[in-house]
Amino acid sequence: MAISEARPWRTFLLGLLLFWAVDTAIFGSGWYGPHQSPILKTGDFWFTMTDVQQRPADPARDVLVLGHSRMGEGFSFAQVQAEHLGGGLHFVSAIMPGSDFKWWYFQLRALDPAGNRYRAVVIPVNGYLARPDASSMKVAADKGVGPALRPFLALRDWPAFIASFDTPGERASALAVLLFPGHSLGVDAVSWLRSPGGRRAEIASRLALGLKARHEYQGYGAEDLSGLRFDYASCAVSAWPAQFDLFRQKDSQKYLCRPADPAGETRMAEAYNRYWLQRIADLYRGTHTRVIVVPVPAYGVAMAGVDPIAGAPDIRTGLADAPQSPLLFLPEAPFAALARRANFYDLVHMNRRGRTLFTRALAGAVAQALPGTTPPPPAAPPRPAP
Amino acid sequence: MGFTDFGFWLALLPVVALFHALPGRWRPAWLLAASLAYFTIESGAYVLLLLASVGWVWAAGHRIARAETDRARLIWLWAGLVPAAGVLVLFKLGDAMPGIAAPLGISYYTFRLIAYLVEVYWDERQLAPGWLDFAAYVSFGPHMVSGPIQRPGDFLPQLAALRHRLDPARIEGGLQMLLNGLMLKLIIGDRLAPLVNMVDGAPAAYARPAVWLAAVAHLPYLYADFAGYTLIALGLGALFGIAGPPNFNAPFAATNVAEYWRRWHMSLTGWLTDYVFMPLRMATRHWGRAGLVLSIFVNMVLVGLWHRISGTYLVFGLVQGAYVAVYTLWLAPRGGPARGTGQPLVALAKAVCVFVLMDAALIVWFAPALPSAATEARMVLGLLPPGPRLFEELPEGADIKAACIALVLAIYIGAGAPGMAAIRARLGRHVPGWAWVALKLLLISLLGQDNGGAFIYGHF
Amino acid sequence: MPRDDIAARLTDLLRDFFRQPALALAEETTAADVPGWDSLAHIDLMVTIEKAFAIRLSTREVRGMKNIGALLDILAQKTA
Repeated sequence: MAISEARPWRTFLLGLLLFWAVDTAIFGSGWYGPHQSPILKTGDFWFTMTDVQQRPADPARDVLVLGHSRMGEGFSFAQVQAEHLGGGLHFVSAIMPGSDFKWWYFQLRALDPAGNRYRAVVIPVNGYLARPDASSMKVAADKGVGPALRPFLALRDWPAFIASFDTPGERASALAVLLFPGHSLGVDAVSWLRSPGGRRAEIASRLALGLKARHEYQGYGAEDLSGLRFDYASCAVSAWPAQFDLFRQKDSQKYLCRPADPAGETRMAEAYNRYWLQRIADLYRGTHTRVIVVPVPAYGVAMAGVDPIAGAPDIRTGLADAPQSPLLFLPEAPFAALARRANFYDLVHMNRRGRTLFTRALAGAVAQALPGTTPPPPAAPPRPAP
Repeated sequence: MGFTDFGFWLALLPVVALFHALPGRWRPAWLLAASLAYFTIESGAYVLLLLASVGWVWAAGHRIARAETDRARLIWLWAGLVPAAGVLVLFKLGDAMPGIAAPLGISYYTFRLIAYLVEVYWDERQLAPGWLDFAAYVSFGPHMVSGPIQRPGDFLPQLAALRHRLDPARIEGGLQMLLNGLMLKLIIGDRLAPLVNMVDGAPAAYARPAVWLAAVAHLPYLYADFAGYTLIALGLGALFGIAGPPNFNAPFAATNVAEYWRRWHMSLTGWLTDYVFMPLRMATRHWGRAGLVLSIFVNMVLVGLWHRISGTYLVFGLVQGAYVAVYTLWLAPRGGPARGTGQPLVALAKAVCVFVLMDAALIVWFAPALPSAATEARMVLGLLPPGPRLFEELPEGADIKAACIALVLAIYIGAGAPGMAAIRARLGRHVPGWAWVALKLLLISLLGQDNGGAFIYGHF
Repeated sequence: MPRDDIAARLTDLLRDFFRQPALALAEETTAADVPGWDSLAHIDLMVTIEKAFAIRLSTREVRGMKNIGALLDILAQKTA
């Protein structure tokens, strides 16, 4: 290989430019989107977002539900239909496992740029008292956020997206994802090349499902946390329920123990929640769209790593009563009551029983919160799910 | 921020651009400033420790050069060596204590400090021409993290020459090394990392094929990671006009253990040979075989222990000492010019033997503690019942097929990539340089694994 | 001992030591130019030279010498 002897920099920059052009043409132009694996996280997000984008808007009745896997496991769209919950509202899912505020904010920027497509938008918080779980939530949610959002970010959103990361290193990485989107799709592209037929089949079945891929998601089974033997003080687990495989056990460790600096974590969580709630509220200030905040039952048992410390601040303070605020905070009590071992499959996700109760509570509360819609008739005949 | 972070390269861009734009006489100063800035970003206030070490060794060097008697020379040599080496040993001992992070590259800058002192002691003409040049030598950013260890007599004249001229051919070579190093590290090394880490984490839990494959992969994995790092470091150095010493020369082509150590981490083994082994050997030259064996063992135990003062690295060093001693005493051709290795098949068999011996020793090297090394060794030998797990935990993109391809490539490259030069020469005539750059960048982008940016030798 | 005599004796000694009867030495010759002159052989060679010339060499002298010329300088000085 001979880089030109006289002008190595020119040769290098020319190569870099060519690389960028090829990378952008394939992965940054939108062409690659529909060829992604709908099973991998980025592809799953792409298909879901595209489905929601292409759905004809019904601003009078559509309620966009955003959220992480807790919402995904907790809220059953099939049950809403079957039990005629939500008083005539249409719930539309853009839920993404492992997502958080940053995802939801930019999802809204992409799905509803003019702020006129939805009657309401639902976003979850882990209760209204700030919990010392901010770092673990953020670390988990920042994983993969850039590659997933890249196809849906307009150029004018790039600076805001990059600025949403804290350290210079993270910001540089975010810029890299935006500039060179191929890197994060490399695994996807190689697996496509290894099995083109398999990829075609995956995509075909996903396209056939459309929004049903989210709406008919069955969720976890009936297993609960009754078998969990757990000592709050020493944060040691002496018995895991059978549904906890090694991966789930390992993943649960981070919730068990008090973090090194719970007060600092709490402050960080408060600032983090309030910052993003404010920004999401700003998207809909002065519009007819309500932003409904639901305090999901976030944890099935009391754990030192996540329970609010004494004197923990309320993240709602000053947000809801601001003039023209689109924020509606649902009352916490009915949801907090669901945070019981019998309703949870693992430490953070609801089981079948929890899902049934949570879906009724949320759909009912949303319907009640939106003026002009009525709660479902109490004696609505149950219809079998399709 | 390390060599695999986009932020690092982004920040590097203006640093390199300014380096090239500046008048020649400012280049060493800019290089020193950038190196110290990088060190401070990574290690904070430890920069004061670095500067203190630089100042002390600089002063000691002058004392040695000006000394009137051999005795005074020797006293100032030790006066310079003991604090510099002492700080390193303290941090190596402190490794065992949680919460103490060692300064960036302390092993490597200490090796440079010692090299300088000893070189000046041997020949006072090696004295650095100025404090700035000396400080730039010790703190040279591109080689800071994990070497290679350049000698002052190699570095300082190049630095002085930068004041007059920057060689475009060096830049060209540097850019090539950067790309090749990133490919070796990100595409091959990081594709082997999940396999090795998975099995080493719980060797008893895995079935034989997984245990064996991970055991074989140790050496190629370490090679791809460390040789990849070294290429990047050398390439970076070349962007600043400094040609560094090679660290790897086709180690898997070595046909005996002594040759292996002349081809593996060469800048360290060369350093140890010159500053530890040779002086020891001189001191013990009248003791016959005992002196030779003692020198070999001291040398090889240091090869192990400098990583970290721990049981595993001690055992690793002793095993290597035994390898080299047995070879030197009984197997090496005596006197006269080294004979050729003979038949290609014989050479291949010898190379395979060396590979297996080194791979075996790495079981201890990679283990967190001696008991887990013993467990893994017994798993490999089939002395413990196999576990249930196989390859199902490997992530997408680093699955068993991909890992096997990476393994074969790492061994091929580590054996000197026979035949590659001819292919490259033939293709080079038809494919322009910028197309190669674009292709390599595309490969790095698409096939590079995200392994958190960690280099194995970043911990030492 | 005159330097030329030392050079002649040294050449004989090296030819014998490295078993290369045709070995030719110049002032600029370094270890790298002589097959088999590695770091281990270097020490054995120094021991042989010490015996042959009945002198003692220090580590500093052995390591400081860059080529045959430097070695000759040291030998000339020590046997003066």
